[in-house]
Amino acid sequence: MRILIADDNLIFQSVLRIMLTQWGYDVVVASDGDEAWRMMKDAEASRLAILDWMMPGLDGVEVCRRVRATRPSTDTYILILTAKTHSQDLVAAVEAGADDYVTKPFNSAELRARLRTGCRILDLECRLLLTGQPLVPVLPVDRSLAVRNSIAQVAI
Amino acid sequence: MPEAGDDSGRFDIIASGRWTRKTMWHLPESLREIEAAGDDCIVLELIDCFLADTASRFERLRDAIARRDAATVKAESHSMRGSARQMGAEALAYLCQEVEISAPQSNWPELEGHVNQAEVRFTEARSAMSEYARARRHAG
Repeated sequence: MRILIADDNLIFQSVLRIMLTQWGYDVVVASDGDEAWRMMKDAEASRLAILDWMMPGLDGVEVCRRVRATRPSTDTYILILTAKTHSQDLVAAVEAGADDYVTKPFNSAELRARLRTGCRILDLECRLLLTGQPLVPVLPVDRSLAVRNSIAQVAI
Repeated sequence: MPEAGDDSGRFDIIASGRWTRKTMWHLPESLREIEAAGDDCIVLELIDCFLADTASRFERLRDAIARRDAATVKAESHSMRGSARQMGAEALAYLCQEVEISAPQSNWPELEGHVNQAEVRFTEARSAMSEYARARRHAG
């Protein structure tokens, strides 16, 4: 799966690019928020994205908000990567439409597990679309629950 | 000063002034994983990249302090803190955090003091990283 990394910090860019490539992802990189937004507007954009919060130009949360405002919410899985650790920051990111949140410095095993979760949800959503079954609306932020509920209905 | 046998990398230890070899620099788990999965050269390249990037950020930090540009001081120190922690240079990261926290108050003498201390920690981390790189290259 192709994944977008958006981070202005050369060290994080490099560590993430190397690790994700080792894990089998096809990696594309943006060096600031404006570039990330340009890449995510594209119809062929990566469906999985890791966005740094604090970047020059648009910040990662604003990119996330714009993506959610312009593309179907099931289209892209967005993980915010940030040094911010307060719970209100996490809430702000999720309310902007982020699917997940990882703090810097990141633990590689945790990041890998969270990306697998993202891939699994995107895969399930893709399979649901093929059935023609709409996602059952539940709490707007609980995307994995919506997917599970819809799958349960398909099974019935 | 470093204390032999104390390998804690936690910020509360750093804040107490008990500098340890590990707080100056240790190879973090993410880099150990990269090293274990592939070519040693990748980790050595990342270390070179970190040292060059941090050195140029110190120049920008000094320049921003001279211009009394608190926003740039905050942004640069934030970025330096993140990469230092990810690369295992905990003492440097701690002092970058001090700069980042102090920047909005624009207490320039205090900021310069923090940056001076951070440069000392960077020199120590660079020395430890260079020692590691020499050992890896010699082993390879």
